[in-house]
Amino acid sequence: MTQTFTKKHVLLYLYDELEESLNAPLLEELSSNQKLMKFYTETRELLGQLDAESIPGPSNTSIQIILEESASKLAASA
Amino acid sequence: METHIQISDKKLVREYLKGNEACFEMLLRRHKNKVYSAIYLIVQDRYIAEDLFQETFIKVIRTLKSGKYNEEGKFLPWVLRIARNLSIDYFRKVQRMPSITNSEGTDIFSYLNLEQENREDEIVRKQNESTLRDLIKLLPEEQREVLILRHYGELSFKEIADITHVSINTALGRMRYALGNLKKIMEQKSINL
Repeated sequence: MTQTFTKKHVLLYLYDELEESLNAPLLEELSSNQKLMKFYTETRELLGQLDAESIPGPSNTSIQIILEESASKLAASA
Repeated sequence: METHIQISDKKLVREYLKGNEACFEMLLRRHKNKVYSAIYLIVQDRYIAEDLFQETFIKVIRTLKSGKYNEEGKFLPWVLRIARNLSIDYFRKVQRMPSITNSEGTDIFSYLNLEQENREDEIVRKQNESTLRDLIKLLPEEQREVLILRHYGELSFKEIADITHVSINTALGRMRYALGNLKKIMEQKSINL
């Protein structure tokens, strides 16, 4: 039985979650399926743009507050 | 000696519970950006995200210390589940805030928005809305959530499906729509600007 590939398979592949045995057949499908290939290239480009977005991290103050809470719990349980 | 890169989350949790504070710090520093990013992209406010970030890890500490942490689960998905629930609780709380009306029946908070936006402010606002991060805000909640948890939280689609109580197929569908809608919004913004 031949595997039918959809956009969901392409998404799984882009996030390295596709079952390994399906990787090669998917790539083969992409080489002949223009619609799926278009989805693959556009999605890959968009994901790259998402990667480029820098999201701020938490402040050092928040980190210190959390560590102090942990230390106080640790002291209480000791 | 193992470096923190080699030590698994599971082992760090175990050592922390034995009293090794440094192990908790390693866990916190290892995952802080993913957890913070996920919260920030949901609540879209830096200060609220800081508060919720602190609440998340304080809840993590309390649960670990009480012995209620299920070791079979993975640490990061568990923390992200807590973060997500706290973010949703925050929104519910905000929605429950009663409106206060004046004698004419107008919501007094509406006066805060009545000041006319001048042309310069409009340009600045549009510029500020042009980052991808801002466009993610415009996605429907379910789609935004999957996108954030997968791309910034780095959870698998299976983990996302578990957290959001849907099938993996539905999670994938939401992601597909999220990316499709994001692309459309970006195209619209390019045309308008």
